[in-house]
Amino acid sequence: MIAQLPLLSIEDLHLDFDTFDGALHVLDGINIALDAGETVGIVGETGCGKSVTVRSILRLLPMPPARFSSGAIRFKGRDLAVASERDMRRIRGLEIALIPQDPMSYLNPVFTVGQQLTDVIRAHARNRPRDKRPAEKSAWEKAIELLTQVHLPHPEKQLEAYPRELSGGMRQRVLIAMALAGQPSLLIADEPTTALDVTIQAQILRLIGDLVDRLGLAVILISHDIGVVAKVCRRIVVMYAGTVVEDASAENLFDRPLHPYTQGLLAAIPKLRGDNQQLSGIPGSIPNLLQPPDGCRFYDRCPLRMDVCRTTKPPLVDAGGGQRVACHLYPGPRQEARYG
Amino acid sequence: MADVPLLQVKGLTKHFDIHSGRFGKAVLKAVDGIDLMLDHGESLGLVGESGSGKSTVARLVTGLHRPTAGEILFEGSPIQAMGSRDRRRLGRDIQMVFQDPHSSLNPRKTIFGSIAEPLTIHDALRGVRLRARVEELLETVQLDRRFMYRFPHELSGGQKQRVCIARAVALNPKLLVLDEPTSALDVSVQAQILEFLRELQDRLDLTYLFISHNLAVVRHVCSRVAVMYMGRVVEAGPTAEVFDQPNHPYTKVLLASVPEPIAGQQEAPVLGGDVPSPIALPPGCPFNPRCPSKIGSVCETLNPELVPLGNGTTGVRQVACHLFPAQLR
Repeated sequence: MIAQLPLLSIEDLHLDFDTFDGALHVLDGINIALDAGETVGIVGETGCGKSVTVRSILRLLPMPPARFSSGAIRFKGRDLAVASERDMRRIRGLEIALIPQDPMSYLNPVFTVGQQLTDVIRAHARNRPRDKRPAEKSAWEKAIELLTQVHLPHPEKQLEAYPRELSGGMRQRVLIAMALAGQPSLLIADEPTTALDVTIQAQILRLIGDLVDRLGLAVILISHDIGVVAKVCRRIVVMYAGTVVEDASAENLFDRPLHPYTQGLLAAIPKLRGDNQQLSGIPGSIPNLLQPPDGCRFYDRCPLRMDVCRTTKPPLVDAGGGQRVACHLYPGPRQEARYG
Repeated sequence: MADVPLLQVKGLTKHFDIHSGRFGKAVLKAVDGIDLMLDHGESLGLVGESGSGKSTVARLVTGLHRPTAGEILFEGSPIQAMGSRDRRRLGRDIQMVFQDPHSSLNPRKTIFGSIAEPLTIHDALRGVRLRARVEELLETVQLDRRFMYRFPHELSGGQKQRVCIARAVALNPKLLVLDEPTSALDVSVQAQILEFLRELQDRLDLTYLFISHNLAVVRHVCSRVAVMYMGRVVEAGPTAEVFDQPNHPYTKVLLASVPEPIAGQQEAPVLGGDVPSPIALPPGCPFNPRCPSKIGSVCETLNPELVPLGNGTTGVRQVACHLFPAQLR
């Protein structure tokens, strides 16, 4: 079992936001691990904590009001939850890079693409330990190389352009180039295509998929659209109200979703092809995170709830075939072993 | 009366004059000569990417914009030529539901106030009768009457959209124009609203003009679909037929681009290039610079007309592409 440490492992992470009304328990024991080169998608609806989870990996949340109350984020053996700001600077961009949601608001409108991209390249060169600095090459040449890598036509010309002169898809390519500038081993994409049209979305997803294959990057891709995640990721983590409810390979998740929330989510998605079947929504709304329920956070909306669900929080257990689920319907092998 | 379609749009065009650069004036061709027809009780989906003009069509039909050219006929009479009395009547018959339920409700009005407003203006309802009608409408949209004296910020997105729908159906309209009614909602709530809209259509005998960028949603709600690209309708027909056997190269690529929740899906061809600027449309077919099945110079010079392709099971299919010349008629 001790083959090798995962690249990243989030271990029982609890995160609160302090507000005037009290502490919001935004993350309630998140467990996600991924190996080098692995592609994992996180899906869930508004307020499930998927963005907060990845932002806490990069420590991009304002602290306070955000506060880690327990747990660890181990990246290459180091706990990022307690790392110094100085260390984090060497990790952001160089080890873990972020592709944000809305490309326009992440580019400075008063500087050209080239100025912003070369800034990032130079900053990375400064932050890299002296012995690991790559061979000297001008930042401008490196910028052209990066834009070529993300298939942006006429890179020399685009470097002179201001962000407003680019289309949404081109801006997102520039941000992907920026993310690649530090040669990270983990790429986090937070709803990278939500602001884009569907044909452009397909281009960007194809690009991310190609880069992952070519550069062997590990990826965490977040989306509210489970179809987007399925395009890039082999494994999918489903979150609900600050908890991981299911973690499975894409095949297993679509063929046999185990958690009632996952089942509800999949039944709610209108299909493009086939019969015009009835959709079923999930009645009710997410719980108030100021006073989250003691037991399962899906209790109020769950069609299969039992008494135990109200009082006891279900742990994330192995349900076979690498599929993990947090639901009392699935006791998991450990409990079964006790009787066997 | 029976043969007259509820809504007919002929050669509808909307150009916006915009300023570009320091001196230049440019024309943005938001909608460029489209024909649509909606029979009573039907639901027509209008799909396309951003900038395709689908929302402008909604705004033209509801009278929020005046068309540059073309005609909109409601029950056979052109709405531009209507007098003020008929226009007022039209305000009852055509109602709209907008994308963002939060910004389309007045934050300082209670739910009662928002739903009551059209009733006091058009029906001059007051007092007990007004209250009874609002309660009835809340029941229609499956909201508890205790929501009546709450404010929009106390409601969830799905509940707010139900309020907007209650307000839109308050005057028993004939046509409901829905502009991306579920785009701001989570998928589990979207499913509830879509099922509810289908049921409401049967119950209140409504006709829907349903605008969405989400093809699967349109497939679910609409019997017919019109695909728009750069202000033109490129393909139209019964939804199931168009989606299962698209004819226009753009429709094909659009459908192939939708990421579906299926594991290990086969790689679909990805469309290169960007959506062109609606200010500087390419000559000829607006899709020609991106088209994978371009046949030659005719695509670069001549904008293809929307022509019928023979009968489908529930209506005529039309396509605007040089691959399907008009002779096939």
